[in-house]
Amino acid sequence: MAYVITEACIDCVHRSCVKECPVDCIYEGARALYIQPDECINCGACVPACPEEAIYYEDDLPDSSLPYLEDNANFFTQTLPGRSAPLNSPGAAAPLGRIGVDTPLVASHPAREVKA
Amino acid sequence: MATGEIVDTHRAHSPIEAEVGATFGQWLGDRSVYWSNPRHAWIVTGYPECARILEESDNFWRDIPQREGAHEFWGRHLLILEGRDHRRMHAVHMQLTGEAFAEGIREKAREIARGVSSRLVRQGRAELAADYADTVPFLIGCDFLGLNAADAALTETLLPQMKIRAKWKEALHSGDGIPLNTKIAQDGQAALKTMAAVLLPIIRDRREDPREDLISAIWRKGPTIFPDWNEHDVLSTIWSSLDNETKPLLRGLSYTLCRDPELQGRLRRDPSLVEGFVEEGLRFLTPFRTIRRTARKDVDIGGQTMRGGDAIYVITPLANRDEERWACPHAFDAERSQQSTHLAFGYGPGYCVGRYVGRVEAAEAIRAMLAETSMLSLDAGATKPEWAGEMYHSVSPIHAILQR
Repeated sequence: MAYVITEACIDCVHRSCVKECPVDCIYEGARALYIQPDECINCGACVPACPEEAIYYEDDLPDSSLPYLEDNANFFTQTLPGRSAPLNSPGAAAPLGRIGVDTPLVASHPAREVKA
Repeated sequence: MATGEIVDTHRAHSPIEAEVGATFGQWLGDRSVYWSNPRHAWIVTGYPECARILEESDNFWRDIPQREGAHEFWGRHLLILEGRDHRRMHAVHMQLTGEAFAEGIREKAREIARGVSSRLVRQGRAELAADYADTVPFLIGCDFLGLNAADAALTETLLPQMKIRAKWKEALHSGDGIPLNTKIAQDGQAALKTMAAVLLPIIRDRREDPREDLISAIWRKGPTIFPDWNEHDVLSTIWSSLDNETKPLLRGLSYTLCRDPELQGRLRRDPSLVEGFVEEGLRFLTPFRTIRRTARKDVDIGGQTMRGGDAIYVITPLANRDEERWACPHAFDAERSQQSTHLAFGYGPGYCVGRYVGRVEAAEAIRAMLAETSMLSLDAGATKPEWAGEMYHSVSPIHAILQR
């Protein structure tokens, strides 16, 4: 079980959740952030930090956001464009910095207009 | 740093290390997870195992809601709720008292702490546990809740009653809890009634006439969790602002300073080190030191098999001495860089919602006392301090001489 970042993060990437995470398990792609499900400790500290209300506990996901449950995991288990191997479980996001690529689902998402 | 430069990272160990270490003796076993016959429970001391138990609420249950008197004590509180209701309440707590809120109260917290310190320093002596560590967080909490701490009738009612309530809380959480018909629980219920008589009129007033205080904010946010949000829910939510883990932490930090004049000097010369001192105090002292859980089903952990229904004690201060996570973990190093997440604020779904406020309260209280004094020292002629407490572990009395 883990928290999941959904489509409301796309093109926002506010990163306020990153600072709140006590185990540094929120990784930055190009257009969105992703929670490493095996590293997430389910504390929920990221949820109120997100100005877009993009983060849900997986049991609480709205139906329209269900694909992002698998997509957050895909960011780590699949080999992302331009990389030679999956990220798997790096243990902390900060040492990696911005990964700079996204999953196909996020990459193909139409550009979003983000609140100021 | 120039190549080849030798940096001496060794620092003399704090005078408190041996005595704090001795208080763990009862919890040490030959493995990181072991069965205790006297406790009739599993004792868990390893970091990975403690973290896992606190994280996996599906496997390890916090049985507080089932304890006799828990609902009378807590009402509809975070510690009683589970599942989605718990997650929503947890998120609202963090929204209300997160980093922005904590930074917003910092200046007032500093002012309150300076006021109390200044008064105690004028006296020349104080019992820092009751007069400072227990008092300053209470007064700061009163202020951000919107309670008038200058109203002597209010504080003279609340302070002693909070202590009676705290005894019930400790007994309710420790071991298997305590029956409602015991004296501690009866006294606790009477204390809750007395405090409710003082606080409910203020809570009702804030519903009708909201202000820029936390009680008013709780009235605004509460109905987003429960549409039938009521004055008793507000009352249940505000207890933690008045009585919390900052008090035992501040007792330990105050005592540590009294025992270590050299550390006092370093922190006075560079007050920016105080945050690190507080964080190391959280790791090293871990005042909330035993967390109870119950295995929901058979689980293999730490080379042992727990059976469904087995009781568990999670010993967080021992987890916070994991040698793979902290260098020289049995040393109190106020200037240590915290490389790992300590478990002083818990872990997982119960991760402390008051962590930002607690850190600000503790740091400002310590900075204020250091600013008002040139030396803190224990009064050798007074009753000696003792470490005690199973759930909240702290030191008292701290009879100290305060030099201006």
